[in-house]
Amino acid sequence: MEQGYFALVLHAHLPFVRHPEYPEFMEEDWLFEAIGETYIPLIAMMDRLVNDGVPFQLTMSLTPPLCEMLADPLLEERYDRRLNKMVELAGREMERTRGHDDFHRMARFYHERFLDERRIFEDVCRRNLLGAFKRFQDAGVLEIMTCGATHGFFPLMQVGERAVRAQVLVARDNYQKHFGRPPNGIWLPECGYYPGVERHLAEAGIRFFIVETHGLLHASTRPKYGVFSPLITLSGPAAFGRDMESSKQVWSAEEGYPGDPDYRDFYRDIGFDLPEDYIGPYIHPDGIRIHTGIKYHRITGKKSADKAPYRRDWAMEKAASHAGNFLFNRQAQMRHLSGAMAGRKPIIVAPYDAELFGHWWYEGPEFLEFFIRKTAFDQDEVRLATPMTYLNENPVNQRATPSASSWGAGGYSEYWLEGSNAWVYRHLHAAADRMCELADRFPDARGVLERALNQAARELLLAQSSDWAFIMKTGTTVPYAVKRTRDHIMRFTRLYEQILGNRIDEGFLKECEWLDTIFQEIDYRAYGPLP
Amino acid sequence: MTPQTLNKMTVKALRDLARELSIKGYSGMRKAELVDAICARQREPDRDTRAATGGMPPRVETSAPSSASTGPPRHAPRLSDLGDLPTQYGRTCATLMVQKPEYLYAYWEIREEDLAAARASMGRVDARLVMRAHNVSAGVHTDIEVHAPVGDWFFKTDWSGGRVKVEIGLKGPDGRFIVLAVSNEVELPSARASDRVDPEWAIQEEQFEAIYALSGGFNPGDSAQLQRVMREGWGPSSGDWRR
Repeated sequence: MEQGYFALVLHAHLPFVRHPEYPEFMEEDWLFEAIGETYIPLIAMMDRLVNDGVPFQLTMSLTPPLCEMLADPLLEERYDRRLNKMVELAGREMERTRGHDDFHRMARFYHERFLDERRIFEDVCRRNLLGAFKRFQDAGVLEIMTCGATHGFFPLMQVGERAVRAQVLVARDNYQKHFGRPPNGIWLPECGYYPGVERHLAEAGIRFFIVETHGLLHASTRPKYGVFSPLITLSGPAAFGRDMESSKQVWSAEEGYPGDPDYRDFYRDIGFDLPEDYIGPYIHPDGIRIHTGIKYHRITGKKSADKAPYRRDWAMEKAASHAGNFLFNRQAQMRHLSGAMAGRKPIIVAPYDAELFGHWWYEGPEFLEFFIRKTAFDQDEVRLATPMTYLNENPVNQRATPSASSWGAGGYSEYWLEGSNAWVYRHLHAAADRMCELADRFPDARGVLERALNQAARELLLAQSSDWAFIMKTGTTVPYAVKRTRDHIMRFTRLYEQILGNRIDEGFLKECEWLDTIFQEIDYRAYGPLP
Repeated sequence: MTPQTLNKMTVKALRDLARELSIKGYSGMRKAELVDAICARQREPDRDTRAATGGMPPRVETSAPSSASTGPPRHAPRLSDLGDLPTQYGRTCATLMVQKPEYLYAYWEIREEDLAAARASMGRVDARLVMRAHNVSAGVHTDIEVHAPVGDWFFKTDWSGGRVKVEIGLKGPDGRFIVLAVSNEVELPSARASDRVDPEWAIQEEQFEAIYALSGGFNPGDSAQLQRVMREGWGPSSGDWRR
């Protein structure tokens, strides 16, 4: 008997990284790796599930910068170029590994896999991956959520309410452009909630969002059903809470599934292991070693040299058994909860970074597929559903205001506000105030002035990505994050000065438009007065 | 503050800063040791009260992207060379942000002319620049000396909730206080379950404890447990799942 709902939520996001000014740019690989290892495998998975008639529902957020990159012809072309090189490298690897059974088998596996990736990208999707996600949404198996326009962290932006509102409105319009309808749900960037943000969500027609566990547990009144029912905010949108138990089984570095010794090791990659005269054409042209995606070892031993060869068959068996274990635990959790909730059906909401599945945890997509098939056919207690399905079937819910919260370490804002990154906010807030000032002074701009105002809005939004503060804190590729913050703030500042001084330099504006192409549909009036 | 900035400061100023940062044994340190100790302390992620990095961003060495990119750009990157960020925006203002329960961060900018005017009206050369944090809900305040007219500060309060704002002002030795800038108001989040119950969604204490525990919160009276879980984190910033 059905005991409750399980909402699997995959948050897919990458910052907008697109550098037409360079023939190759290393940080663009973030996107290419995620396409090959996560987005295409998820599309292929959903395609198989739909073809096999498996009943399921998944929720994903595809953030506006990710959508804009996936729909960008230049990045599509560069991804295709990289993919062709990978097919070629895997072919060479089949030659090189001849006589080493374990490695040779894997080289053939990679070769087939890259060919398949290319077939899906070129022939099945015709380079339009967003279109594939849209088809699943239109078929009712996928709910696509939007996100803040550039993944700005709302709790640290709230001093300028209009900046938060603009992040929401620009995201809604971008979603409409890509998916042909307005969004039902929003993934608050970094799960960052502050009391009051819901009024902007309501204005954008958003029906639901997700908060970290304590966001619901520490709500303004005691949540009768803990995180297992949503709270309806005073403005209307529903707040669902993240379940810790199911999160921990996947996320936890010690106890989580991805650390199993049968799974593929992320770090040991032929891009680092093989001599330069061989691997040279497939790493960065300056000789900088990078991940190629061809990895032959499994997670064994602390030192690289100790790692044992990867066995795909073992890994698949383990993924199936982990999926069975995950389902078993959800069934037990569901039975326990429906007892504690006196008959009201619980919803367990389990959000993860989408890129965890496939990119970091190579077998993640197979785990998901096993889990979805088992849930559909092996039991009837747990039902896969989206938050919208829950709301449609359970329209009456408690009303309260969640507590400020995020899913970063510590649960609040300290990951994005500490010694390494606090300096950005002085500039971000000043730029946001200036953008509002411009929107107030020029409510009906046309022509070059309107273009300059729209570009200023793009630069501000790009500077606001929480990714830059995040990178400054984690300590890898920090100079890139600092540079992006500085570049966008400075471009914004020049545009602001030119607009106010009535001396717009069209050449400068054109260059900015050529570089920072995000949101062609943008309307700077999103920064106008609050309603 | 960067080592370069620190090196330009006098030993006396460095000692003052070291004292504020509660660095042990600062009085016997030489200049280089002071700079090292201050830098080391600034890198510590979780001190109760700490000097922030200052309003200046770390400098980027060159105008080329840090990640190596090949060949000469097809397009002259003059857009990447627009100079450094402004150190100030020419407006007297203060902004307050919440870092986590009890912890706040403020940054401010006081224009020279505003500061000079306040000094003149105070009539004392020994008046000090002070940040006064008000718990508006509780009607109490606390003063922190801040020195820099363009600066920022992380600080801990002993307030478990309430609405808070800060004022930057000039404080005379007699206690007189001239306000120069008033920040926005923020709400300190509560790190525990509410005591309020919605009668329509009434729940017995025992039942609530059970559902709270099942939700991952453990004992509602012991929010330390939840916080420990949160500190360890099962999310993107807990491991290296994301760059």
